[in-house]
Amino acid sequence: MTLKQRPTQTAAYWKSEFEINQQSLDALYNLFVETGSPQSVERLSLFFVQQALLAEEQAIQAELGQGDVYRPDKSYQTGDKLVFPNFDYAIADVVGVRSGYNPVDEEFSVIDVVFNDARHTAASFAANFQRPHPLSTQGSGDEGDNKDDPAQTILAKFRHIIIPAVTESLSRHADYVEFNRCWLLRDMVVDIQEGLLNIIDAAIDINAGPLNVDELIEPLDLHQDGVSPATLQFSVNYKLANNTQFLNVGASNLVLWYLNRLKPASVLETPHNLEVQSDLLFETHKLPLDLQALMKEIDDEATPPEFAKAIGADDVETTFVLNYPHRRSGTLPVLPAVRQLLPETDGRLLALRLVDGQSGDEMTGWFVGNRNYIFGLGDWFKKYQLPVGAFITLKKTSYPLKFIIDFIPQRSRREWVRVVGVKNNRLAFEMKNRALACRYDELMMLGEEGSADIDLLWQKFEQNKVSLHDILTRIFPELMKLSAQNAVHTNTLYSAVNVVRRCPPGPLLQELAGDPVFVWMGHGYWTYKPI
Amino acid sequence: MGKYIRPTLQTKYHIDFDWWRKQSQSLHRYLAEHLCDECKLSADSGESDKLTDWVDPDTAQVLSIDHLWYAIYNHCSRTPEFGGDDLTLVTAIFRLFIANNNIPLTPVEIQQRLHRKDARTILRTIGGKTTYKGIKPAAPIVSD
Repeated sequence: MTLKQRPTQTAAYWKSEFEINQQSLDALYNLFVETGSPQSVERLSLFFVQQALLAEEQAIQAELGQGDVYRPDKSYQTGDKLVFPNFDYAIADVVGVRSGYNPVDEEFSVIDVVFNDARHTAASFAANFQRPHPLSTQGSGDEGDNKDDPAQTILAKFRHIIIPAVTESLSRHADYVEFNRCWLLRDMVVDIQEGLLNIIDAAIDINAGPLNVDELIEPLDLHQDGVSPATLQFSVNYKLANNTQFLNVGASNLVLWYLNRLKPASVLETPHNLEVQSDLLFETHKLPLDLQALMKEIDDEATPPEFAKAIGADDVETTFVLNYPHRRSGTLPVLPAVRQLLPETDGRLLALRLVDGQSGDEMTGWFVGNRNYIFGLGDWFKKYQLPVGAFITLKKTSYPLKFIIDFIPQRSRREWVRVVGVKNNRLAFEMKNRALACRYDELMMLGEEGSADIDLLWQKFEQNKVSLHDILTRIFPELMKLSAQNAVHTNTLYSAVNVVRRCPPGPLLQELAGDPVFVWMGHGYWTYKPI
Repeated sequence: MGKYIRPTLQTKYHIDFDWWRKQSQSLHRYLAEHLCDECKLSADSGESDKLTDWVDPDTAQVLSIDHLWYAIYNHCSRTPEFGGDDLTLVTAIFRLFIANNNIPLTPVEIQQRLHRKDARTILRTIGGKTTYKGIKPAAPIVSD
C-alpha cells in the first residue's frame, strides 16, 4: 500500500474507466427536469465528473465504515480499529498507547498500531496531538491540498479527454439531442410546426440577410408557458439545423440562420480565377533564400503560412495589397494575418458584417472557411474604383462577426500608371494617365480596360493549357517596354501574370529562377533575354 | 527488496532514520558533529542516550530518534554558521533536512533553499545507488 491518488484524479481513469452508467443517466434526467434548460457540454462534463466523484466518495465511505478515520488530535485506546486514508485506506488495530514527548510538540500520546497488510506492519502514530497538523484538520484526510472545487479542477486538467468522452457517450443515447455543443432531453424540445418553417424562410428572405434565433422567435410568437427562453432557442436552432432549407452562418457563440437557396454562387464554388491549378507545384526549399524573402513580400493566400507576413497576437487589423483575381472576383484573400482576425468556422460558411470604413454602410461578406476567401466585395471595389494594387485594411470590432473594411484614401489626383487590356488576343500593357483616390503599391498597381475581354483571354489560356513559362515570355517583353532599365520587378510580374492565370509567388519565382532566359538583376528585378 | 525506481527531480527525499538503524551507524555521534559550541557543552553533560518522539509533519507517524535532533532543530539550525558555505554538499543537505524537521523535499526544492550547485547535480549526488547519511527517497511506511 502506498500513498495513492484517487482514481478520478488520474488521466487513466477518464481514458479507460469512465462511463456514463444508468445511475448517471437518471441523475442527468433529473438535472434537465430541474433546470428546464439545455446544458452546454462543458456543464454536462462537470456534472459527470461530480457524479464520478460522488460514486467514488460513496465507495470510500464504505471502506471508512470499517473503523474510525485516524486523526492525530484524537485519543485512542488499545483495541480501536483505525482507517488511514493517506495510506490507501489501510486498516490497523491499536495495540498499545503510551506517552510521547519531544521539545517541540511537548506532550502527546503515541499509539502503536499493526496494519492488516500481509506483513502486519507495525508503526507508531501521534494521538492527542495538540499542535496544528494537516491530518487533524482534513476530515477524512482525503481532500489532498486542493482547496478549489475538485470537480472543476479535474475537468480543467482532463477536459481534452472528458469532453469528447461525454459527447461520444451522449451521442449514443437517443433520448438526448445536441446543437452547437449544447444538449437537451429530446422530450423537452418544443415542437416547431412545419408551417412555421415557411414563415421563418420568408422572414430571412425579406431581411435579405441572416437572422439570429431571437429575431425568428419574436415575430412567430413561439413563447410557451413553462418553457424557458433557452429551451425555446435551442428547439428552434435544433429544428433549423436538421432541415436542409436552412444554414447556420454564425460563429460558434453566435448562431445566425440563412437560407441555403440564397447562398451566393461564389460561395458554392470557388470563383475560377481564385483556383490555383495543380500543375503549379513548387518546392520552397529549392528557392534561394533571397527569393524566399521576395515571396514574403507578396500577399497571397496560397503561399505556405511560414512564408507569409504575420501579425501580433493582439493586433486587431491588417493591411494587404489587392491582386487582380480577388479584384475581379469581388473577394478578399484570407491570408494568415486575416485569418487570425476571423472567428473559428470549422470549415463552415460564415456571414460577416463588413462595415465600409468610409461611409459606415454595412454589407455582408461570406467567409468561405475552407477555401480562404471572403466573398461580397465586388460592389465595394467598384464604388471606390479600387485598382489592383490598392492597400486594403481589415479591422476587428468587439462584435465577433463584424469587421471594418477600408482603403487608404488620398486626394484624387491623376497619375501615370500601368494599364492592362487585350489587343489582338494578347495582353497589352500601356502607361495611361488615371485619376486615383487611394494609396496603392506602385509595383503591383494595374489599371484595367475591358474586363470581359480579359476573362475571355483567361478562358482561352486555360483551354489551351498555356503554361506559366509561355505566359511569362508573352508578358515580359510588354512590361519591359514600360521600363527605362528594361527590368521588371517580381511584384509587377506577379500582378501581371495573375491577370490571366492564378499564380502564387512561389511557382512564379521557381519559373523565373529555373530558366536562364530570365535574368536576375538584383533587388527584386528581372530582365528577359530570349536565346 | 523493493523495485528500484529511478529518482527524478520531482522525487521527494528525507533522512531515513531506519537507514541509520540498519547501518548500525551512530546517528547520535553524527548529529553531535552538527551541534553549535553552546549545545556541545550541554551534550557533554551526560544526556547522550536519551530518545525523543519525532512526529512526521505529513503522516503523524512517530519515530524514536536521538534527542540531539531537536537540540539542533530548535537551536543550532537557527545560528548563522549552521548553513556555512564551506560545508560539503551532503552535509549541507543533511543540515537542511534537520532545519526543515525532515519534511521531504525534491532536489529542485533543495537547490532553491541551499542556493548551491544545480538541481541535477543534487539529484546525481543523493539519487545514486550509494546512500549518504541516510538521505533517501521518502518511502511509504506500509506495504502491500
